[in-house]
Amino acid sequence: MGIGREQQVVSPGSAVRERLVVEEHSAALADVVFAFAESTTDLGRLAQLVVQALVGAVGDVCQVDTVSNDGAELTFRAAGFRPELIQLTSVSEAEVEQRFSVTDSVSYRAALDGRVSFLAEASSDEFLALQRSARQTVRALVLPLRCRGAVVGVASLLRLGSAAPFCDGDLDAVRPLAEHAGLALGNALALESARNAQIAAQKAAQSGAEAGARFAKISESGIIGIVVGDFNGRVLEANDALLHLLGYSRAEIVSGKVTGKDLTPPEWRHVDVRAISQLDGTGVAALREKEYVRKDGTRVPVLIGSARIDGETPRAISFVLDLTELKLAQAALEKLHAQHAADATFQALLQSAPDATVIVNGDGVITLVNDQLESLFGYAKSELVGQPIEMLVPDRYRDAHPGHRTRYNLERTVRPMGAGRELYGRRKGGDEFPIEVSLSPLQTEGGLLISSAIRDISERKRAEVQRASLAAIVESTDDAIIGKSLDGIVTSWNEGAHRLFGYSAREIVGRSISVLVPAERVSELAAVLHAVGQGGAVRQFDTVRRRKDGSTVDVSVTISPVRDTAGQIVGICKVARDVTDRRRAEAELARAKETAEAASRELEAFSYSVAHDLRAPLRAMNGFAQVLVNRYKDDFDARALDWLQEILLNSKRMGALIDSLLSLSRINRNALKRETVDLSALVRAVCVELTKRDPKRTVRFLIEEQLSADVDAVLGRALLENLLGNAWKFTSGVPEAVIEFGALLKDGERAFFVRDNGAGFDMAYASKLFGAFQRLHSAEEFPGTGIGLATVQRIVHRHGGRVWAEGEVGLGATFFFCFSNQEHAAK
Amino acid sequence: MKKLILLVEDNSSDEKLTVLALEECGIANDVVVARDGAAALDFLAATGAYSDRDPNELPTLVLLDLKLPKIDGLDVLRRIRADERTRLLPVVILTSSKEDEDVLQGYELGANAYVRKPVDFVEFAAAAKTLGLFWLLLNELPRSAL
Repeated sequence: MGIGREQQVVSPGSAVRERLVVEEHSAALADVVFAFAESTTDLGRLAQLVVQALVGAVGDVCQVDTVSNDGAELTFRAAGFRPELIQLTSVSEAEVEQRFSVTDSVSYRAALDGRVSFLAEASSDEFLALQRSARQTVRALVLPLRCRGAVVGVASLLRLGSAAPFCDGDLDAVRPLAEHAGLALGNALALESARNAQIAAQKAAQSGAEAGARFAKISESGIIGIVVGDFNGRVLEANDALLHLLGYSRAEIVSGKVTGKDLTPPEWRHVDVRAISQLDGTGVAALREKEYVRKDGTRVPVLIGSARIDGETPRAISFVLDLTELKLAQAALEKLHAQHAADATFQALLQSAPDATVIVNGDGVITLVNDQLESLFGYAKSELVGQPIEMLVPDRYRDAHPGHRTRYNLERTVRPMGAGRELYGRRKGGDEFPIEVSLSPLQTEGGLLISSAIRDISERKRAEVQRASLAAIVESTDDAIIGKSLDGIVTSWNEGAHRLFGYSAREIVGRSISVLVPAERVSELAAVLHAVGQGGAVRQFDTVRRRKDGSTVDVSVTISPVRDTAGQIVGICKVARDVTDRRRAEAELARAKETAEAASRELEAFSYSVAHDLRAPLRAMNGFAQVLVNRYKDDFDARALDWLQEILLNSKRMGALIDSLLSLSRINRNALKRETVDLSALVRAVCVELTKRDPKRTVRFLIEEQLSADVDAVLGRALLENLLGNAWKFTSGVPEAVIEFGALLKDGERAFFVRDNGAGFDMAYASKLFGAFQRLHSAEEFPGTGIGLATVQRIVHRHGGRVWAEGEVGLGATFFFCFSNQEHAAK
Repeated sequence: MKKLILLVEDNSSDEKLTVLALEECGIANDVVVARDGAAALDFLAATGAYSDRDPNELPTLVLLDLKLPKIDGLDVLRRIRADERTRLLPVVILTSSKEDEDVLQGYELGANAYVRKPVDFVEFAAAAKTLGLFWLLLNELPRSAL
């Protein structure tokens, strides 16, 4: 195994270095590897360390054996077990070692060939000869330990009891350890061989033949460089391994053209000098480290042991071990330690960063995150590290994301991510939030790393949306909204201002607002600026402004100070509304009102004359009929007299109708004179009159005291006369008539009411009650003109109020009325 | 001296009714009727159609309608009061209107009474009786006015 594979011996351990740097950021592993390297000269201790490391990683029990130079023999080196195992199995340490020691088997042989064996039940594997007596399930993992491609040892890992069988994951877990262990073991074995050869060389003086045989074997192994030279530095013999190590051909070395001096850099020559003196004295030079200069000028670190070969001229045989890999490993370790220190600094930096930060490698795998990122996305670090960055990307963008990454890896610039696009992060629960990402590449020895600083911009987005909607409102309104500084310089100008004044924002921003002010209003502007600068506001101030085209426009302006967050007045906001239309509307309204009033006056005159002219013929009919009755009574029979009575009656009824019409038309004629009127007193007065008019009737009045309202006294009285008169009239058939006046709260409004327990009405006709000439009773039942409630309604409407009625046939009626919100109780 | 009543009334029905009403309550004075305001003023001033009348022979009472052709009632009243001769003449406005405005103006212009002609003849007769009794029998006028 491994024999004749010199190229492996000297090839620089780039793979090892990469693994150390890129894969293994574990400080624990680094410590273990460092311990391995330190134990290179002590194979027994190294084997113990390897066992401990492997047991600590995946197994309960571990045994390490090494392979002989020819690959044929296995030598037990060390065994160990997890300390807890004693507790678990309650057997002694010695017993554990004894029971679970592994001996030569097929699995072993497989390992020698470089294969890994997984044994779910080691006890059933007759080939894995376990020295065990307990009836326990034993899982086994037997794996080769390699150095530079050659198998140098076998590690047997056992797992006891109900533990799960070994799996690929376990192999992955121990692989880095096994690799370092193999390297260290290989080096240690080589060193041991060198020592043995040295001892053999010493013995060669006594028994040349035996030594010669051993020497030949070692020489052939290819791991150890062997060189024989005289004490003057001349090289007499060298094996292939050494030649390969130095890059010279045998002819070049042996010809004497190249001496020990040429092979040794000046700063290392003192080591050779001391070794020669040792050789002179004791015949053996202590193991020493030095460097050789290769033919190509590069240097190679070596470990050398030398012994004197006594003869005619004193010669020395030296065994040379290439320390390149070891040195590289050590250097890598030191770097790793430095890296860890740097990582710690980096981690601290990451933690102190204001933003959530995630670092991914060139494949988009998360390698590092800070606490801010954990809390922002709701994941624990352990859930993130080793996962693709896409786990933080919303589902709908996931597929496209690796493409973006690849492009970025080529570009490698510090820049914001997704310029011009909205970016969203995905939390653990799946909900999304808007983010802003800054990317920066980090070129490290371990490859490209990308640092992404992620900022949650939900708040900013919300603010932006709000600002956009406010801006949209400002832009869409017809009002001119203008911002200006305290000295009147326009700072903002909306579309409404453009429409109203004709200037575009570009034309006027930066100019003084005074261009809008007509000459005769300049003083007004100064006063306004001053007032607002003092913190005051001007509301709905009607004025005139000048447009770009020089025309003037009537505007209503509201001017208020703009304050910064500290409350300082930093500007002025002016809202101007074009009131030309309003002015026109007002003028039109005034004209319309005048027209309406004129029409109304005309109508009044008309109804006045109609009423009067209608009365005259009525009077004639009634009068002459009456004269006939008075003077010619005897000339008529009973029927004729009855008909004459009909004429009299009807003419009188029509007279009453005309009177009512006149009073109805009179309501609108005069200006409303509101004053506080004691309605309770008014009701009492009307009731007294009613009682006087018909003293035979017994009516109980219930009048709530001290109710008053702001009404026109004359109309108020007419209103109550009508309502109370109705109540009086419709209770005429009730023996115990009750008429009530009061107030209550209806729909938040104070409503007065007149209630009676008289004839009432059917609610189906409620809507007809207030129409002029609408009657729900015949004149025979209850006389009336049908004008009374129309009058009531008109009076209430003139006061801006409303009137309504509730009733039930035979049970009475209630009439409610309120006078807008002007009424109040004196209480 | 025979007590004369000047009735200024354009409506012949109302004229007859007024006369009838006066008759009903036993007032049998001579009633002179003027059919418009101008005629009423002519009668009082003994001008125009009445130029052959003795201008000093004034009626005891003028019953004056307001709505009249040519010169309306209130104007007639104003002129009566403006004329030194007739300034104290008892004038009772007898009209269909009971508009506040008319009543007020009537009194302001110096009407001695304001009576609204009711549709009901019985009431009218009662009103005429009261008027006639008061103005023709009870009221004492200053000597100079006669």
